[in-house]
Amino acid sequence: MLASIPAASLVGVEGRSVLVEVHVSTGLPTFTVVGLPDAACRESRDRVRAAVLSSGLRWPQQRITVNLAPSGVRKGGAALDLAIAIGVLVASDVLAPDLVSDCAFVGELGLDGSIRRVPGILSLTGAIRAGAVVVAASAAPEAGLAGGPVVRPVTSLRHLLSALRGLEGWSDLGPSPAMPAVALPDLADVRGQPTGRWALEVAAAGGHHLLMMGPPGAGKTMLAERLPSLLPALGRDEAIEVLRIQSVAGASPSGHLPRWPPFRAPHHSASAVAVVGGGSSVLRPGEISLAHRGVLFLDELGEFPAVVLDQLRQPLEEGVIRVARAAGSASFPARFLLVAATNPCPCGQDGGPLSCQCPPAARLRYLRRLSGPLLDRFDLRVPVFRPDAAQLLGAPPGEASAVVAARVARARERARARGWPCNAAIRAGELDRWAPLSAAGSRLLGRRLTAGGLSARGLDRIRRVGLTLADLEGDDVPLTEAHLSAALALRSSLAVQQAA
Amino acid sequence: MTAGPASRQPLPEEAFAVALARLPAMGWRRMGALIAGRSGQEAWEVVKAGRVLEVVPPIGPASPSRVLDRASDSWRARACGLDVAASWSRTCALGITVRARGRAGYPEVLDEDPEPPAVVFHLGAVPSPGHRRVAVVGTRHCSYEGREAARSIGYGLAEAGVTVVSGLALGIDGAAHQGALAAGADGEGVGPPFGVVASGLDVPYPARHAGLWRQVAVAGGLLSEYPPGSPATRMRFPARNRLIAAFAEIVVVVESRVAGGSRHTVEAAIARGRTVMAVPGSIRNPAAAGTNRLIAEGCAPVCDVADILVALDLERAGRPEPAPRPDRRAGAAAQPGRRPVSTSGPAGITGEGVGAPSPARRTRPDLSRAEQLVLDAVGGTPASLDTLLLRTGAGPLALTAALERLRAAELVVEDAGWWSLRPR
Repeated sequence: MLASIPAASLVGVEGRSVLVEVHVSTGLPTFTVVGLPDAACRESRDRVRAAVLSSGLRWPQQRITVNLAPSGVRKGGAALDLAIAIGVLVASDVLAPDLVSDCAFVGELGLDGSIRRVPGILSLTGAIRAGAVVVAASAAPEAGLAGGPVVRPVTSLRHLLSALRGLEGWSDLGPSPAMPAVALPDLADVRGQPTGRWALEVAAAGGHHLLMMGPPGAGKTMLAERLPSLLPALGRDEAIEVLRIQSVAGASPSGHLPRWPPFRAPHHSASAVAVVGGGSSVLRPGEISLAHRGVLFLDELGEFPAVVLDQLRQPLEEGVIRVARAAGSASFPARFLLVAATNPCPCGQDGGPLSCQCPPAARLRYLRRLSGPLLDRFDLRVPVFRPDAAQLLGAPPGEASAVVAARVARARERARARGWPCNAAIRAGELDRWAPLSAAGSRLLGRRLTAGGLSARGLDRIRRVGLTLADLEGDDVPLTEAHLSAALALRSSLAVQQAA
Repeated sequence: MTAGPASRQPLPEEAFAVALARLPAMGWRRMGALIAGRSGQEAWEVVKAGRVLEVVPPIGPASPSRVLDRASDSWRARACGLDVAASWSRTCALGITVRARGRAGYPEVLDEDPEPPAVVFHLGAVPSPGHRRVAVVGTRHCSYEGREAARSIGYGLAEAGVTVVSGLALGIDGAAHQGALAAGADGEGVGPPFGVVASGLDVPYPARHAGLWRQVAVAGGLLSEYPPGSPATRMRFPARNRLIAAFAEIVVVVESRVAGGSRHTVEAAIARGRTVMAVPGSIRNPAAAGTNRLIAEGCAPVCDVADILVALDLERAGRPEPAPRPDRRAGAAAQPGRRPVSTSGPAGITGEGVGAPSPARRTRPDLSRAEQLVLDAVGGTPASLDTLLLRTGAGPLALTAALERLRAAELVVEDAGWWSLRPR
């Protein structure tokens, strides 16, 4: 007997429709799975058999062949367990074929017959080509977000058979999946740090990548963690995009729609694959994709291996990372706001440029690790210093995130009105149209260009930041001297100059 | 004796001195013990025969033989593989002059020194006792103001005809020589710069000063006690510092940390009875902690080049009265963005050129009130934007705009986010 059960598997963060074909025939009792299953997928034979027997059903003592079509595409994970089990039951006449017609199955089986949620439910459900899909009850809210087939939640294989036969109802779909209100770290917690706060606001308003330089304990991480609270809340489509990636990576155990932009802070020991995505058989999204529509924070930028940092360049430009391996290739969205922090030198210079004890050559070496095209992509480069005791103890709390976020939202509104998602995305060729310079501003930049402190590419970045500053102030273009002076001050040179 | 081309003729004494200097771990003490009382060729034969310990008599616990014992074997091994003639012709080919102690042409200044090198290598001219010589030294990691002070002192000294002696290191040393070179470019009859270095004369160290190295060698002179090809090793810097002290009549420390290398120079200068002077700095500037301590211990402070010239007895000795000389300013302006301090007479006599108000408050009629407020908030030591925002209470946009205008007016400078007053 033959059965064909629709299901889905993951390729990168995308779902792909899979047809599980099960053939049961006379012969020696065997159970083979063909069609490029990976290890977890091949192990499903044992899970399926145990689950069927635990559910009080008969296991056919016959030759069982399972084919996962299309057979040229590698399938990974345990998401096909349920479809294989149903296929075996249909092919061995335990279940009537018409009960499962136009119904797909996605889920992992426990040895006791329970049905568990699998990573990437949102993508998998979206790829189903059937009128209904059976998923684990805990995965139902997430599956419902796909807006595709009717979602039928079940708890166990036994429950599933009763429900298919009409003897029992399906489980409840669960509450509408919105993120419970979680309080983000608030900018009001930061004492002092006026420059750091200012840079953060500009970064949020214009989507400018930010590099903070300062000694350990200056509050670089504290500032960076508060950037999501300044960014606009995610819209529904953006939230689904983010959830899709988080779900595939197993980073969203609840399956709730995220409300705030994600914040990812990989440690500098992370491998290149962990940061940009990849893997040998199953291609997984990396940290930069998990930070999609949010903030990627790289603390101790200089400690990251150069190979990792270099791979950030393409996604920084294109907002997407294409990972190609022998087993296949995948594209992961990766449009993130990069925030990085670094010490100015190996000793972590504290009180200012003069208190550093590092030999000049060591300082140069340290900065050279950072230099190059990546550094150029930071529109904002600000020093962050330890606030002194008076600021920490006596000063009133600074503005709260909500106040700053309101200004950021207004500035972003002006950028959207120009037709760009944010000012940092404006192409160089369009700057003359959107960010013209006043006569005094033009003179100012000319002076800095001749003084040698500014490159042509740096000039474009200064104009974009200047435009964001104008947006924050509610000023109209052309950009004045004040906007450009501030943009220059927010892009300070990297090191205290050593050359005498 | 200038280095002539190598020929079939017997090798000069200097050739053996070069060969001896090439031996591993050879310093001025060992070399001095080896050639004491014998010619270079004899000393070379002693080394080649491995008889160093027999020949050099032991005297006391720290005697030369104790210094020599570990080196004897490695020297013999090295000496057997070293072609004296080839080494001599290579040295000559580089245009380097070699002077051995006790032979004609050996620098007179060093001849009188308690710790003289047995052989020296030089490019250009070596100052004689008749020249006025001032060493300007300090930390490699200096502040902007320290660098500018060193530059202007170098400029002023050279302009007054004084040879500026320094070590060509990063920071203060290099800045002092750049000042002296700038004075040379601006006028006639200036003192030539003189550099004492810790590596072979064909091995510029630090590499970033290779250009300065060449300029100093051309405009004045460069001296080393190490043969061509020697790298700058850690142990050679204190030895180099003693030579700087030996060449100087006055050692001026511009900025130094408490435990900096300038200490060696100062100690060597004190041991030789040389005058040590120091440029005072802010108590909040760690790069000035060493110099401030020197002043506390009794060194004369240098507040102006004139202080050094007075100490040299030069200020009244035959120099033309420092009448207003607009050409000097014009000459200085030829060097972009740099402004040497006034070297006009002792402060208060002419009042010209030293008329700058104290850095604590500079008033300019053309500044707006906001700019004046920001200018007052920028102190002598570098201040971050954070500090300036707190000091002025201004908004970031207003503050940065004012700073940018002050920078354009050349009143303040910025370095990696640190703002300070531009030294005058």
